Amino acid sequence: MSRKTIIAVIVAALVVVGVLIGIQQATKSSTSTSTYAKAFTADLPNVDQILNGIPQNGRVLGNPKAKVSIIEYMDYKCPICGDASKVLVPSVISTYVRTGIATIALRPVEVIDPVQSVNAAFAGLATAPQGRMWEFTELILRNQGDETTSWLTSAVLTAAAKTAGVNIAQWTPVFNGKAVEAEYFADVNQFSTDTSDAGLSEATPTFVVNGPKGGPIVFQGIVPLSTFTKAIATVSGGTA
Amino acid sequence: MGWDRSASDFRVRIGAAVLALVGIGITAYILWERYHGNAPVCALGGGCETVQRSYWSAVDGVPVALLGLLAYIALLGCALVPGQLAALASFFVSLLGVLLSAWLSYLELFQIHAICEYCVSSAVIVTIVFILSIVRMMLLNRDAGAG
Repeated sequence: MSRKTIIAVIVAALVVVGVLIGIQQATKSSTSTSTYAKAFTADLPNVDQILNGIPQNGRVLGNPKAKVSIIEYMDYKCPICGDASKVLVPSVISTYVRTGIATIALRPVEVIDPVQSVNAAFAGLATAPQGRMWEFTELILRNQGDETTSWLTSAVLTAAAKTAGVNIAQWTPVFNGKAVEAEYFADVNQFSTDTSDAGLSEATPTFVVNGPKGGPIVFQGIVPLSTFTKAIATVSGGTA
Repeated sequence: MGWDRSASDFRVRIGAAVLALVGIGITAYILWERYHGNAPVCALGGGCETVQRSYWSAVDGVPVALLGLLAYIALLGCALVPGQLAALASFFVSLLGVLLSAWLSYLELFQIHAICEYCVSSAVIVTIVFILSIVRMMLLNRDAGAG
C-alpha cells in the first residue's frame, strides 16, 4: 500500500466525519419554531381532553371548594416533569381534581436552565390571569425538546401561548412585566422552604399535598398514583 | 525459526473480528432499546438515558447507534476477508469510528454533560480495531516487500 493511498483514505475519512458533523449541526439550528408549533397544535385535543370542563382560577385547576390542595413545582425544561405530564398528572387530575376532591396548582421554578427555564416560568405565570396556564404548561411539558439544547426560545413560548388560546396582545406586557418576576421569586423561595422542611433536595417535579386534617406531605418524581391516594387520605382525615 | 507473518495476520484479523462482534452487540442493544422507547440500562449512574435522549444521539434522524452497528458489521466483514483491500477498508472504517467517537466523547463531556458507558466501551473497541488495522497493513506491507 502506497503512502498516497493511505493519505487519501485518511482525507476521505476526515471528509466523511466532517460532513456528518456538519449535518448534525445544520439540522440542530433548523429545528425551528414551526416544528414545536405543529406539535402543540397536534397535542391540543389531548390537553383539552385532560382539562376540559375543570374550572381554572389563575394557576389553580379544580373546584375552589375542594378541601385538599396539591402544588406541583415544575421546570418547563425538566424531562421528568415532561414524563409526569403524560401519565401521572392526567391521572391525578381525572381522579382527584375533576371529581372535586382536590385542586392542583402550578409553581414553575428553575432546576435545569437559568435562562430559558426562568423565562418560560415568567411566560407561564403570565398566562394565569387569562386562565390558560394549564393548557400552556401541559403543551410545553408534553412536547419538550432536548434538555441539553436551547430549544425553549421566546418564539416557542409564544407559539405555545397562541395554541393554548392566550390573547397575545394582553399576555406580552404581563410576560415582560415586573409582577410575574416577583411572583416567580416568591415561588422559588417557597420551593426552597417546602423541600428543605421535608428534608429533600430542590428537584422537580415536587408535589406538596395539604388538607384540613394534615399536611404538608411532600414527595418528588414520577410516583405511583397510590402515593397521592395515601397522601390525600391522610390530609383529609382518611375520607378520600 | 522465522516469524510466521500469515499466522500473525490471521491472529490480528481474529482479534478484530471478535472486537467487531462485541461492538455489534453493544450497538444492537442500544438500538433495540431506542426503538422500544427505552434508555439502555446504565450500571454507572443515569448517563446513558441522558445521552440517548439527547439531540446528539442521531444525525438528521438516523441514530448514531445505527451508524455504529453498520460500521461494526463492515469491520467484521473486513476482518473475515484476507488481503490488502479488506485491510485498507478496515483502516478507513475504523478511522471513521475513532474520529466520530472522539466527537461524541467531546459532546458527552461538554454539551450533554453525561457519560454513557456503552459509548465509552465502543470508543475503546473501535480504537483497538483501528490499531489492529494499522498492524495488519504493516504486516501486509512487509509481506509484499518480502515477496
